[in-house]
Amino acid sequence: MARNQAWMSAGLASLALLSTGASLSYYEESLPTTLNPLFADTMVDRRSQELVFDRLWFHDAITNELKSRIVQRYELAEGGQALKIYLTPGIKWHNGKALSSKDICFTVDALLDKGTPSPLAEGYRQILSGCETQGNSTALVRFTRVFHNPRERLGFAVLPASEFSGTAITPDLPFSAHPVGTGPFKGNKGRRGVAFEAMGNAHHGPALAQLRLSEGQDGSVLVRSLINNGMQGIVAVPPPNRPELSASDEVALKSYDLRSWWFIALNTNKGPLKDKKVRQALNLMLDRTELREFAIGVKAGAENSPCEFISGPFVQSSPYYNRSVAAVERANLARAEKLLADAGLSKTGGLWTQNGAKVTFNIGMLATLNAEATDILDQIGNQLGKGGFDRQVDKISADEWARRVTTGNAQEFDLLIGKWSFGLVEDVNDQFHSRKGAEGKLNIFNYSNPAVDTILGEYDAARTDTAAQDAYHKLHKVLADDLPYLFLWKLDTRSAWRTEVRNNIIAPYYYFTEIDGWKYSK
Amino acid sequence: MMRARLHRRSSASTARAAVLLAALAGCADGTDEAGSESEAAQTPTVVSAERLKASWQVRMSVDANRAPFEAHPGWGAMFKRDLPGALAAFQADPGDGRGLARVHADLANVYRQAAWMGAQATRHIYGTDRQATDPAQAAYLLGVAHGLAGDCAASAKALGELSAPGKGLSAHHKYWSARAAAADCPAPPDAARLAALPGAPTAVSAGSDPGVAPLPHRTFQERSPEARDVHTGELTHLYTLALGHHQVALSTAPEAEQALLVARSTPWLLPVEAPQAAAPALESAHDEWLFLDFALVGADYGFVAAAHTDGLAAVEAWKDRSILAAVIAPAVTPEGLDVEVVIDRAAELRIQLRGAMEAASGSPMPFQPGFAQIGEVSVLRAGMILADANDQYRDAGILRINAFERSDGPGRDPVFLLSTAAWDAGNRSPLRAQEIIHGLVSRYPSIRTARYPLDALHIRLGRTAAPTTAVH
Repeated sequence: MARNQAWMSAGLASLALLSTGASLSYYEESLPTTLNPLFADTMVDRRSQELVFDRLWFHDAITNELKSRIVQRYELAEGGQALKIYLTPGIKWHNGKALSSKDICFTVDALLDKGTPSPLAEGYRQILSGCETQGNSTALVRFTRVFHNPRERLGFAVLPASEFSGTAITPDLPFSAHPVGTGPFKGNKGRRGVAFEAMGNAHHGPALAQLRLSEGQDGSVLVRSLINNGMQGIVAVPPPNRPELSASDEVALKSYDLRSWWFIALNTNKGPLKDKKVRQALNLMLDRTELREFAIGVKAGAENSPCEFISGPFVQSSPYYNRSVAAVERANLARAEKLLADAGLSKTGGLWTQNGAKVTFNIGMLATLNAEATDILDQIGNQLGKGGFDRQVDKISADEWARRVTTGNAQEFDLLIGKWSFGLVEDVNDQFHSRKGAEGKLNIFNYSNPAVDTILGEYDAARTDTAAQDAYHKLHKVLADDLPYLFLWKLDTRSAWRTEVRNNIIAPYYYFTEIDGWKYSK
Repeated sequence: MMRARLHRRSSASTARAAVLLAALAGCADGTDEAGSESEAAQTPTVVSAERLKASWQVRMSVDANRAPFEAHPGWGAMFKRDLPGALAAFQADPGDGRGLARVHADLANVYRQAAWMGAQATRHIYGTDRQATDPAQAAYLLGVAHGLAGDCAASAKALGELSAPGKGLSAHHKYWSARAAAADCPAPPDAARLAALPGAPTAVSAGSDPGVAPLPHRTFQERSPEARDVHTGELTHLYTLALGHHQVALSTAPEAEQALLVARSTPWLLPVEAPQAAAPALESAHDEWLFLDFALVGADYGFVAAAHTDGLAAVEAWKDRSILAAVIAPAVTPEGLDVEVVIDRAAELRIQLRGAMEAASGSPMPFQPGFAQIGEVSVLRAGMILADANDQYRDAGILRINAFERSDGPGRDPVFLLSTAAWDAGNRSPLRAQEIIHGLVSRYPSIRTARYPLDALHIRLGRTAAPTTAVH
């Protein structure tokens, strides 16, 4: 609480600066776990990094045109298997040094270095084969093969060679908290927030002088603070608070294109959850309609709901979503109990036991989800309790989630409640492939199913739209039966900014791509 | 300037803020918001109060004016932007036919924009992003898409690549090939000939929406070793359905008001359909056209149609008759349309409208914020059309997104939503378009026809994008 008040004071103190139209304070779901773009674990990381770094190419937030701020011109080379890049002159890093071709090639080399333990780099290793400097401002980026629209593949953030001792980059370097970029803002991560100071440059001229990120708390506090001009923006407004903000003339709700879906990962290697029947029983024990109403405030049958149930690892509007697999919306305790009995569990004194021992589930949840779905952890725990399972519940910080959960090192849990966010690329191979080598990098409970691995292989090998779609439709069906996850819902993200914040175009997924044009005017 | 802080000019909002400030007194250290009290009583004036009284929003705030609409379930459905519900209600009780004509006109534009979205996506997937494994018949699909875009040469070229279209496709292929080669191309397609093609939708009659035939309409084989089936919908049929609704709308409307109906649809015509006549010099329109529509007074229809064809010149020509033109006029500069001024004035109009409605009704009514928001969206949409006509493509996009974000509740117009989906597809940006289609498909199942190419666009772009990883 003290921490919260201190940061609130900082927000109010910034009002003095606001009178000059220079500084904005906004709430995020959490603090970023890292400002190093190689190691983004959360959407907060991605959004924050967008302020500090330039991606080689990016899409215009309005027209979707492919653009670059740091490449002046380019040409295909080596029969289309390389791209010669001529840098925009005069760009400087936040440390004052000039951006050069060395930095482009350093970044490519860092991505290719197997000593860089970055899931993002792993993807680039399939695409890039090397880089060569040709003078100070020209770099030749080589690909593993000829690609259609090769510039579309070059969306990585450029890193400064001068800030690293080698191309093997690890997430624990000081750079992760105090990065040096060429982006419109210089970022400094503190314990209570992140301060972003504007940096004029040859290719950036942000109208704002400063941005201050702080961690969001209870939804009603966020709303009061925004309406009261204690803060100027909320990146993700909890659904129950949207009507109040929508009715305000001081605030504008803004859409934010992001594909996020929520799940409960089940530990398929532990206790009774090894048995598919038990997992299926849990799936039927949850009353998602009730959960959604209590935690998110969406009533059954509501039109244009921001929250929509899913039966597999995609949002319903996705071409990969298999619409023949129905979502479970209501609990069916009778069927759940039959499945549990079939799995050899018995009920004693209202509680399920296995081999005479009471079944207790250790349930964890990514703590930041509570802001969007109030008390969801307790609600799920209560529903399982009502179904006859003893449980312990625990919230997990975003940092710990990144460090332990997504790396497959939180095996003490039985159930983990989380969400995944995607942009245009909806690849879920990392979540469901057996962990081996570069596969299964985000497999929370080290789930392993050879049939699933085969399907994921089919998706990887697909050369046509139909083959890719067929593979993921098949995957959806298999996962909805095998249930390494209980799939919950997709939840739309909407932001709110005060109306004095002008020209605040929100880019799909990356959010702050057009921050240069944001203004504050009374 | 016009960019004064909106909340300082709104008495209602300041009152709310005051309550919230009082609630926060114990925890927020106070702010200087109270200092704005003297300014708070001011309400923005973007058009004269006298002119605003003529808007449907203000007139319909009077119970007696609104009563006939509240008595008809068709208007209740229109309030929810439920066109099928409105169609059924107006079929049961068509009255003077205007309501029914309006629903048919909106359905025509829904299907037009869905067909356009499908065409835009098709032009990418089988044009710039074509793959060797695509079915041979992709050339036909591309030819139709170019045909709807009014690009005769590209249509002829694509259709010419398919020398043997096969039995199920030959009539359609022949039709579009003939159109592309015709001396008058790109003249609007002939509705009767389209309706006679095999598999065309059942003819639209007053009060009916027959929809397209069950999907998929076509299944082709990839030219890959697996020769997988590629399912798709026939955009020709979706467009035929649009034309059918348009014809019924015209025949149902009073003859003297058909020009209004045409003007109202002008912004939503496909490129192949050139506007059919100069914008009518309307001074007024019946309330059954205006109520809940994106024109505040009758002259706004003429202005928006003229904006589509004449660009910024329309503002000067219409500003003395059209409220929308008058609101936008200060945003016209020698450099073009200033979108920030349009956005500001749209928001100010919303506040002014709300005040005027409350004054007309004597007290705030629950429907008034929604009505006022339609007024704001009307300005943003008109600004978008102007910017587009003035070659300010990105600025038009900014206004479109602002209008989209405010298209809630009774302002959630499926025609505009689908036009945004089509715009997104044209920009190779499928995600929002998919959300829009997904949100509308249960009410308008025929628009599934256009979903196939959009889905293919997403998959194709997603698999050639820069690597990324899911995050939490």
